[in-house]
Amino acid sequence: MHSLSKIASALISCLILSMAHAQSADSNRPESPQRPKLPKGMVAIEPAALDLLKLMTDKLAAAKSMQFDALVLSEYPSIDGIPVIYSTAAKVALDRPNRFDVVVSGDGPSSEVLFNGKQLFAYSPEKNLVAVSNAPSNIDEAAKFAYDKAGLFFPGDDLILSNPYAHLTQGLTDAFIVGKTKLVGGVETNVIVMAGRQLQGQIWIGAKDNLPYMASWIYLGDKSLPRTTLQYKNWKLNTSIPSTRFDASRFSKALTIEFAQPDAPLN
Amino acid sequence: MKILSYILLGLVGFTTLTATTDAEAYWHGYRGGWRGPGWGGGCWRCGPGWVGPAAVVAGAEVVEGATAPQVVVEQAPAPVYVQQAAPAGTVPVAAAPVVVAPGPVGPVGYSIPPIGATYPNLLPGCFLAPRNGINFYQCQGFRMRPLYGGNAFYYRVVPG
Repeated sequence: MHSLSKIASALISCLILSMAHAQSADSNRPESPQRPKLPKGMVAIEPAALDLLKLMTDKLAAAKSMQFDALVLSEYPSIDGIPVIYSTAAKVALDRPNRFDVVVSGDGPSSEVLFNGKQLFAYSPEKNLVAVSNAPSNIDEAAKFAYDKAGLFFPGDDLILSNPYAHLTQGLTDAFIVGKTKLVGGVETNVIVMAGRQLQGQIWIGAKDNLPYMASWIYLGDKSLPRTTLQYKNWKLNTSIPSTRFDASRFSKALTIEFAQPDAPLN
Repeated sequence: MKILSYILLGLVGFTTLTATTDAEAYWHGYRGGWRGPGWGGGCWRCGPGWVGPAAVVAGAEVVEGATAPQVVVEQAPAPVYVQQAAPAGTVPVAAAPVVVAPGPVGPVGYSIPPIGATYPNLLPGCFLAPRNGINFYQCQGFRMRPLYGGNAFYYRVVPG
């Protein structure tokens, strides 16, 4: 009897150990680490890092027109929590003060977002659908309207605003320079770390042209801590963009629909 | 007592075997879906992802935001329709397509999804049926409305 209870205890211990071992994969999931305090004399936000960021954003804000390509690698957890990386490509064209067009292609369906100064369009060539809505008359407000109205955002939408510096430094708690590299974007870049309460990551800014060539962000507000990496290339500033790029008549054969968040009430 | 011992041994053996197999299989892609239908065709294990409000599986649709069980839809031929083009140079407004051949009349074997359910693709057998200037799709026993939101096009089941 006594030996039987010993065996039972041992077996139950084995059971608990095996279950704990089986769950170890889950307990190894990444978690947001507590950041240690900085040594004395070291500042959380290095002014030199902000200077580089300011050079970049000033250049972008001053551009009358802007074209660039973006490749986005974004994580999204699978149903069992494994981060899956999705890739998206976007061709962005901006014509200040009030036009932008973004052609998105990727692993999923392709789409196009157009703001022609009066209306906002989202077009699906595969489905032959176009969502149309009147929109505010400038780029900043139209971009905000698109996000509020339809949860619409696109690669580089933070770079085309009139004051990208204010946008990028909002809520900033840490910023410092890592150094330089020649391995990103085919040019020499300054590597800057930035962090806030909701976001932390790095940005690679051209050492000579002050243009962004890559950015990589972790979203701290999401418990799965997804990372999104954006690679920017083929920059063209202040060049002429054909007006046909912003002409919505090419969507005229598509079925017209409305913008609405999936959980929003309908008219 | 012997019976109790055997039960305990069996329980431990089964639990250990099950847990170990699953944990190891995790890294070897054992569980179904690892070699799924692919991104564009829908990776059911991937979850919603960025593709749309719900992932797509061939022959079945995952209802997002609904408590009802998955709706399995048998494949049916899509309706044939043509669309009236808006005059050149005008802003497109609710073009009124003309249905040449509405979808199949016979049963296509789906249950009616709950109001508010969303799908990344139009269900088979639905045909375009605009009403009061708004584009809807009429399906068997329910209507769907094409919309754009959350960075994706989707179809929502609506009353009517």
